[in-house]
Amino acid sequence: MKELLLLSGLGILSLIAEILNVRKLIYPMVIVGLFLNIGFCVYDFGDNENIYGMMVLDKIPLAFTILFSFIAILWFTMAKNYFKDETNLSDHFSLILFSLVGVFILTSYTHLVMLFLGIEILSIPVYVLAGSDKRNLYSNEAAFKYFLLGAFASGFLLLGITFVYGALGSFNIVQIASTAISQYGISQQLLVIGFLLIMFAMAFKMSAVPFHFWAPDVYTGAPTVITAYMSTIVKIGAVAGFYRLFSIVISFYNEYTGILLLIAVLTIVIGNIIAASQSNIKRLLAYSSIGHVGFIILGITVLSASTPYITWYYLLAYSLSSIAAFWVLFLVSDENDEEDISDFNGLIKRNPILAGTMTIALLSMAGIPPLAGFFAKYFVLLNVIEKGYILIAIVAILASLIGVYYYFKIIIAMFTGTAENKSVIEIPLLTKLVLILISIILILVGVLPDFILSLIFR
Amino acid sequence: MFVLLLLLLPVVFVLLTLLFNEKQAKNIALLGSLATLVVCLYAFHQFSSNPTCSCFIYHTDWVKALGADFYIKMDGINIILVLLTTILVPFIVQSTHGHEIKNPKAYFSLILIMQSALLGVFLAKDALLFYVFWELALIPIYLICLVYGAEGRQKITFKFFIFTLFGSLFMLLAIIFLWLHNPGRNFNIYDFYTVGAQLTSQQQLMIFIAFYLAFAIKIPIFPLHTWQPDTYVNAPTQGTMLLSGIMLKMGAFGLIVWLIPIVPLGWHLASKYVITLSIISVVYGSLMALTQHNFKRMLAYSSLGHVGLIAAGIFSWNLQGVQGALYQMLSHGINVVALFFVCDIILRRMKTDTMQKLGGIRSVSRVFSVLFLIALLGSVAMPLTNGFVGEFLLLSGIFQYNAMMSVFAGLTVIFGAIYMLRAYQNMMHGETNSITESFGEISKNEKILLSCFAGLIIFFGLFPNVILHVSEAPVKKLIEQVNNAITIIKHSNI
Repeated sequence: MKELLLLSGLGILSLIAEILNVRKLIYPMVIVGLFLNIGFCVYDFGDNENIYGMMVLDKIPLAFTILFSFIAILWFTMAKNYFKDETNLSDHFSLILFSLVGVFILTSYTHLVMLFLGIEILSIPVYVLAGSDKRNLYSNEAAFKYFLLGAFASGFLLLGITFVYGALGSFNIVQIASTAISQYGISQQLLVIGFLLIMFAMAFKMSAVPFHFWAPDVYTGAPTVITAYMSTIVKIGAVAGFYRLFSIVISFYNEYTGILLLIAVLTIVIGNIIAASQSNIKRLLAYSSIGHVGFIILGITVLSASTPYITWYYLLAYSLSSIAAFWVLFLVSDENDEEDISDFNGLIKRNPILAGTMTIALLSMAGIPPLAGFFAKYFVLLNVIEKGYILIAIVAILASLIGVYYYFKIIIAMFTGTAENKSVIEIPLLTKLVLILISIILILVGVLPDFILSLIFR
Repeated sequence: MFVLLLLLLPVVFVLLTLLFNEKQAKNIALLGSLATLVVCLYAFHQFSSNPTCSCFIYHTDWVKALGADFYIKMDGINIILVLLTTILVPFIVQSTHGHEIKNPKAYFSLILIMQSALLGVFLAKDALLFYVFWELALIPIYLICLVYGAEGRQKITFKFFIFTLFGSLFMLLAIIFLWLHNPGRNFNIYDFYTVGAQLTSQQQLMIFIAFYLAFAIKIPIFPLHTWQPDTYVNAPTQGTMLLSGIMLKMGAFGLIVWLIPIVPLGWHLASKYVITLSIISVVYGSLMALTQHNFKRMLAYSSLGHVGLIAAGIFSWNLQGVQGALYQMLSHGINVVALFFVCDIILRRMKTDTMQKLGGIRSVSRVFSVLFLIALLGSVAMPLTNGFVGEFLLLSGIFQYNAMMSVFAGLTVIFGAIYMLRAYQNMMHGETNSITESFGEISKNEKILLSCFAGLIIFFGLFPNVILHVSEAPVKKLIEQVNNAITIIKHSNI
């Protein structure tokens, strides 16, 4: 409960700070609050607090909360500089904080209404933020597209929840599991369609193929910082929500495995193949993130005892490297520019730290050992092969080889391209330190996966 | 703890390199590589008196959830590769002496990281650790070639990267497969030996192919060699030295330690074909070398032929073949680095390595021509040089497997003599022309380095037992282990 109150309180406080005209305090307050949130999670770990039968804070939600709070700290540090001269800092910060509440609910719900609430609380601020670059036509398009399609997906979700309730008479996911097992077959069709609709709505939020069409346009149109938020924390929320429900659904109703495997493989293959042909870097990262989501879904589909750890680890590796990549992109691209790969030409000469961080982030996403992304993919593949889907493992490996191709396009541009008439990029000390910190964490997480997992899950 | 020290020393010096200023970078890197060499020589000395000492093992938990350990161990086989690596890296670092290098801190750090990763590959006794080091070694060499290479390198280095990564991903699949069949759920190589030998012949063959792809691309063996010549020519000299001197040996080392003992039956079924491929690459490499006009490109192809012979020797899997392969890995590493250094000296002075355009360098620099000749004779396997010992053992190993094959493999010696001596004749003899007039005497540093190479070539030619003695027992054991596994399966089938 503490975490929920803290996150909502932070959002309200940053609005109050605007009224009291103490904007400078917002950033430190948010950072302290998020660290406090991590502290609460660590303190509560293992308590399994039950919040009115709506949410249960067992180990996995808390681990996800630690993860997204940490990424949020990085995100706020990055966004601080963006909002300094752009529109209202406090509005944006409080919107993000409110959407974090949605992420928190998604990690820990046990009641299907909370799933719907979580998704809406998460999404509505992001619809607004996607259009926050008011004068930019693409930003408006992004917000509009995201909102329309998102509303459609929400409709699916509600319909699905209704069907499930109609079939089983319960909103509680634990009860659903037990009733479904005992009454298997009574209203089977309603149940199947209900979960299928929920699955599609979640797949939309995670931008899994074939529900991914919004992602590239929205990612490209939205301001870079917001794209960074969408591709990290929103993804964590959506995946956590998906995991929470479907780890239970798959375990009693394994007919879904086939559909989910199909979605996962399609997502991996199509995401990676289309990413290879992109020259706009935001689009490229958008498609590559689709590919990563495919891996995560694959990991959840081949359910085993280690799935929560694998999913958590994958999200950690992915969101850390993703936020680093977007951060560098944010610092490199100038305001009115289309973010093209050629922007990265000769980055090593313009700022070695940016080039180094980007290289490590991209290598990690490509899954090159000993970086975090390697073990993330490795754990997933191990489970896939253990379940006997060797062909799927080979397809996934080949698709990630395509990933290497487009990630290296950027690396090659950074190291060998010539930067004509482009000046050295100056970055503040704090940014420099945080970027180096992210690189070190990416290496450490990759070299000592055991240590990190045992640190969080104990 | 020796082994851990070996692995960590280069990394420590990387940090030192980054701390000091750019001018000192090379000296610190040289110091680091020399320190590693000293540790290695001391370890070698210890090893010959007490090979079972616990100081050669370092074993600790790494990823408990998977049963992967941080397990490194020095034994009679990998000590030779470790020796090769530690001997060559100081030379490679020193070969930059007096040359302008942009951003030297990064350059030398990459070389040292590469050294550490290579040592890790050779020392690892845990399959996952081996794989991680194997991939880790790829990144620094890729960056060295990409950032410091010649014009048009982007595509070439990228091809190299994709090729090797493609191969290693299959190796990863094979490792996971073995892990799943391992009741102990760990990656320990000795457990893998038992697990692999118990698989069905079909499974063994599949694993053999997966591992073979990874190793054959790295070595490289025909028809997977297409990345090699261009990469060698376009890489900076130090990159070429690292690639041809040490990195190729990763593949051959993998064949001896990771491929054949794990899937004996796979080897038994496939050996005919893989030896044939190796011998094709011997003949192909030698023939291509004959037709080249550029010295560096010729060396690249000749290297293809030499490593093909090493691979063929390993696949013949008898004492002479494997011992010869180990010895030839050491010799070839030294010889090829020496020759690439010679090539670098010529290229820097003449701005061209087209052999027909050069000539008469001998009359300008006598010392250079003598030292060059020694390196060259080592490469064509002249008796009393290191190349002779290795190639002789290799050919006798292949002969035991199949006499006809050794005839074709023996062509390398003849072709080698032809193209090498012709190259020497073209460049060193004859009239001094307008290009070579300006050659001048070689510098003191170059003289010292080349003399060291010459010394090593002759030393290892005269005293092969220093090395062969160390590796004999473990090689015998491995061969016996494989033969036993095959006999057991044959009997159980009847």
